[in-house]
Amino acid sequence: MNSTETVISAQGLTKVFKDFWGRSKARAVSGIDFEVKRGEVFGLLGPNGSGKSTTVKMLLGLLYPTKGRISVFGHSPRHVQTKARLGYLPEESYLYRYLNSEETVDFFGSLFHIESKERRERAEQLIQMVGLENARRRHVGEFSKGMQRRIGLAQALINDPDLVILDEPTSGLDPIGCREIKDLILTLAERGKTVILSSHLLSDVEDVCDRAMILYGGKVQAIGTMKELLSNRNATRITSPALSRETMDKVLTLIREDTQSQEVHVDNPTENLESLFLNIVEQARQRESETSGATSGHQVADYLRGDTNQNKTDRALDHLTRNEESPLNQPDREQKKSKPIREDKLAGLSKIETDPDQQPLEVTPNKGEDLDKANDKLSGLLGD
Amino acid sequence: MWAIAKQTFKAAVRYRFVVAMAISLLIIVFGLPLMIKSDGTAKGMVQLVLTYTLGATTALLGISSLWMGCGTLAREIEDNVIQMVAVKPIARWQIWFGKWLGIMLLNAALLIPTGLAIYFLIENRSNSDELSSSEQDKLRNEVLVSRSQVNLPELDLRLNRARAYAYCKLVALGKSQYSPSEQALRMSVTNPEHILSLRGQDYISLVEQAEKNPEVIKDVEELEHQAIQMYKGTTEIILPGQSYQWVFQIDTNKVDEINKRPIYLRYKFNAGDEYDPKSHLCTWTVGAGTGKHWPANEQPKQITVGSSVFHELELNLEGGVVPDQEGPNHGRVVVNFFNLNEKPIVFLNKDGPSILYHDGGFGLNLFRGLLIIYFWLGLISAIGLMASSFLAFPVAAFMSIGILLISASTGTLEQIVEEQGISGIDHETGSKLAPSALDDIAIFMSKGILWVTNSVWDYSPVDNLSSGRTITWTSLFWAFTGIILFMSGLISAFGAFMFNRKELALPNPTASMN
Repeated sequence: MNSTETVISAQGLTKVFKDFWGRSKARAVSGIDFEVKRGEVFGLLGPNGSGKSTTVKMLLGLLYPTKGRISVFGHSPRHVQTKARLGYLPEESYLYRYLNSEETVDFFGSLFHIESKERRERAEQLIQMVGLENARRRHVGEFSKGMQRRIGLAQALINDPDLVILDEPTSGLDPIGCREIKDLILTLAERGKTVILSSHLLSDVEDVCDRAMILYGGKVQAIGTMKELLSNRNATRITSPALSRETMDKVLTLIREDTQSQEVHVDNPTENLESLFLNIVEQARQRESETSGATSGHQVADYLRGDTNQNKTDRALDHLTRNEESPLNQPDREQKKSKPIREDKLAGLSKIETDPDQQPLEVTPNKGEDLDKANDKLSGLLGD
Repeated sequence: MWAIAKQTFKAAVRYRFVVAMAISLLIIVFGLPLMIKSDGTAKGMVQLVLTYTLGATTALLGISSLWMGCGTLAREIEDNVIQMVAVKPIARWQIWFGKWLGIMLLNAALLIPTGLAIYFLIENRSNSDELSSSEQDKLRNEVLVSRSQVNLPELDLRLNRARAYAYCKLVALGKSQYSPSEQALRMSVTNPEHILSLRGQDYISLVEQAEKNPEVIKDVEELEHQAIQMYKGTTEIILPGQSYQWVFQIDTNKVDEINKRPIYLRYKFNAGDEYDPKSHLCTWTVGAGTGKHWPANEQPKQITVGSSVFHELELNLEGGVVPDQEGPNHGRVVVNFFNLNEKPIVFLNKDGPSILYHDGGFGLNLFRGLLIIYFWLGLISAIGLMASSFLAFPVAAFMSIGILLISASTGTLEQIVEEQGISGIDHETGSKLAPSALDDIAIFMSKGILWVTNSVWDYSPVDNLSSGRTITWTSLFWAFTGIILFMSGLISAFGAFMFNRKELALPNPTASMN
């Protein structure tokens, strides 16, 4: 396999839902074409009813195209051996309510003919990874929506899939869970896994995707790399350490002279709400160790990271140097990896082990930040 | 596939379905005998207990199999859980069979303890101190036993038109001397052909007309049909004052073993009073023409019994009833019946009579009987799963119940075949009222359905077990072949095909497949 290998190919893909009498009822997907290469994180974006889930279900062989062709790893989506390379997290938690976490992961693992011992090991790692080690004996039917998403994710990864299809993966998850999902997606992509992320949450897609396709009315409205889709070529942003008043004036004067424009804005970069939230919760977690629900801040399962024999220190080092070693060292991903959020998380993880008595961080709202607005958003996120 | 089967079984356990079923079966096995009123004999009681407990167990497990069959797949499709399984590397047909296997595991888990409970309950009753030793012996010899059945040879009802025509022509000549070929013809005719010669002139005339006018062929067929029925009648109807003899040939290799215990004559007769069965005098002798006469005093055995039900007559002689000396009578049991009543007695060919002899214990026979019930449950599960492969749960359940009801009510279908269609019969003339193509279609369909249902229900083990008759390994094999391999196989193939075609992520159940 190589990085140019086409994992998914769709040509003229159309899906028309019909009623009992064969009359067309809804054209969910209308003649879409796209390709996804190995190692890509590909986003399917669109509002509700735009055809994202229908497309995903055709990729999985759960719906059959009315017209057009679709192939996964060069085969029909219904090809049984191809399915062994797939992992799927659906938009809702379609799980057996009477099974507990361990049984759920074990059952789905058994469908991949994974050896019993290996299956148990993987299940253990996955349950820890999704933070359900305290709920391993509870029936899935008793789980909150977020916990169901977590166990759904665990079962999707039991086979160490080459193609992971995630339909609204962060739906129902708290911000920590969302962050962990995004980290996981990036980890998978670094190992050459292909990830399809269907979401209507733009930030999710922006954070992790290499390319995205925007659907509306069952048709492709835009497709391309995130850079192509998002970059504004008519403006420039410069970020530097804090500057003195004099230096700032000099820079502004220089820019205004060069651009012959008064449209020059200066402000302080703000920490995003997600990072703020993660920091607060991380500190709280160090003070409160007990929870009856899902826990957070867990390592990606060893077999998913591909480094089962390394110790924890090695893993942290590997984590920090992974960019250079990755065979898929794409500029876009480097840019994402350099974001402070991920390193904060890594730092947070190592602090848990080495410095449990650490005092809470002092968080000062940045200049221009509307504190009330931030609190509202935070409350909204915690509401789940 | 095994993972799916275990999962299906686990679902039944976790949803307390197994517990509910186990309690119901316990009530049937231990509660039903307390409510049964028998004829006062130990034999009658045990027969009723066996019949009711096995019948009720079959009915309850049948309903549960149907319910599980319809529910396990249809509900998972409706709840979308099946999507999570279908995206894994397992073929749709494996999911389907996994579900079926899971239901069969459940059936086994319920049927095995139930069978054991029935066995020990009955063994306990038969060894009870409340029963006299003669009652215990009767139970051991007639119910809690496995007895093989020796039937009469099948009647030769063949009727060859060319041969019958030639024979009628020969008879019409009124010869007293025959050439070798004519003699060979005389020796080769069957009984129906011989009876047909009694109306030889009519038959010859009709056959010759039919060569020119094909419509006359129906009259030829009618005459042939009458000849066959008349021959059957001569073998079944015993007029007042007449006697009839049956000859049973028992495997000579088994004679010594058979003679160690009593053998039984099992019979049933009709006397034209099915709706008001009265007592009739039956006069029997066994062993005419051989050295083994029963009764030993050489007086006919006379008993007065009712019609339309099976009776058993114990044939017991010192040294056994079956002739054990080498020669033409070796293993031959000759039975004579004398009709000393004032009305004809009818022994239908399909009801025997027959000879029963001991060939094994009750336990193994019960095991074979339970296996046949298990095969039935497999078929019922397959019907439920097949229906739920393309229908929503309530519709699937309705359809499955409909199939079972039709298969169980074969009386109407038999009537259609018997009356040669649905257009009715003029009861005065006995001829068909305006026969049409619809009749042919109805006959064809009825015969087809009857063939299918008979191939399933003909193996009914309950009657055999309660009458101590052996369910042979051969019939078990054919039951497995007919019920599981053929019927369930066909239904499963269709169900798996429909499930394979089904789009599992349709937005609503009324949307159709592409």
